[in-house]
Amino acid sequence: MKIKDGFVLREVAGQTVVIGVGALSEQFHGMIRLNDTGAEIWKGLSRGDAPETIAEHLTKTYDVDADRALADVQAFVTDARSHGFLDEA
Amino acid sequence: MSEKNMNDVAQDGVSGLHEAAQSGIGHAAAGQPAGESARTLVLACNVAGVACEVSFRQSDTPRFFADYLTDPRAAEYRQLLGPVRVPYRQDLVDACLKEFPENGPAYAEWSAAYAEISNEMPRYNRFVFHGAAVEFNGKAYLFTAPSGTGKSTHIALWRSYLGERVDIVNGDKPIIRVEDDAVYACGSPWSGKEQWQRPVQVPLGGVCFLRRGVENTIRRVRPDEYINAIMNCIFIPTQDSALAGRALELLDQLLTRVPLYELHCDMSRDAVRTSFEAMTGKGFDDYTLPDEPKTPVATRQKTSDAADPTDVQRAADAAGAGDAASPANTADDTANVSETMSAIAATDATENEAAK
Repeated sequence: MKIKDGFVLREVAGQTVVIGVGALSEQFHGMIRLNDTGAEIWKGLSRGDAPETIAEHLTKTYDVDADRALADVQAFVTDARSHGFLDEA
Repeated sequence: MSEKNMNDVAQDGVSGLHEAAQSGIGHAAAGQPAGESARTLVLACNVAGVACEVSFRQSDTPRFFADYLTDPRAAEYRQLLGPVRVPYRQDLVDACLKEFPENGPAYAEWSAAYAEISNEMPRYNRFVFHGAAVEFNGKAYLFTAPSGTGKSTHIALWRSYLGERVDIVNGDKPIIRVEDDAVYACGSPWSGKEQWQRPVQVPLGGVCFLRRGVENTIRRVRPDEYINAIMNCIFIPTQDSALAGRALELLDQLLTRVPLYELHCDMSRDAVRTSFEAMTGKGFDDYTLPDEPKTPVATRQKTSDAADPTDVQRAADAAGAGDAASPANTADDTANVSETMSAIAATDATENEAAK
């Protein structure tokens, strides 16, 4: 499970912005704005990291316990999947 | 906004352009479909300091580039960035002709070149911005709004109350150039139906998001308040991830280095006073007389009511995710993604309110 190829992520005026390029730009117009943790999760998923790995990383950066972090990552994954952002392979 | 610029595409530059096309780099392009006798020539032009070599077939096409044509043999030409070589794209020309047949084939070639050149601009620290930019006292002021809101009207009002102290940079698609010393607004050959443009590069003094209102008010805004709106305004080369990323990096520079404003305005003299004083820091009464407009707003007969195919292609919507920063809020944020994602209506129709 991994974020599809064809997304470009940048910091714009302190905000994390993601847009689709190439074939994805036909499918997804507009942009995605992510908060700090959303950006961490997105980057982890782009690398193909497992949710547990991403959650563990979050607990080191933010004041959040492991169960809560994992639940948040999973919720993010559910949303990303429903929008078609993920390659499941 | 000199009379010359407010009028038809200048006629006087045309012969020079054509000459450039026929000499130097002018040559028949390879890959011409068999059976077509049209000769493909190349014109050389200077777009915001970038050399562009545009393939064309219609004898009228160079006229659309008139103020930007350059002699490719001149020493100055070699000082420019680039060149961006624009091949003849029959598919783009045909698409434009199909959509706007009444505008003719030369217009279609000019539009096709816009798409190609806009795509390449981020490579040279530049990007196309959909808005209207004027120059006053050595600084450029860029107004942006959804089409139909009245940005053309607003800059025409600046001209009518402030006279020749105000000049046009570009009425529809200035090119933003990001350098270490300053961010510039630059003229380009693509300037909307009014064809208000000058081939200049002017340090940008402010960007103003224009809204219609019953009172004239203006305030400074933070960059993050307007990211969604501004993403509508810029041309992002979405077929190339490196250039798309570069465009976003340049946008970041624009947003963090240039003052941003939100103006609510009507079409009165007070509307001009409001934006002028806030953005320039000067007293409106020091630059104008307390009477009616003294410079008539120039108008230009439209060639077509059709929507402009060179409109910035990326449109997002105004919905945005919040600033929440804890993991607990990620679900809310991604919920907002759907709203943002689903919106891409290209809203830009005609701007009939302009230049009344």
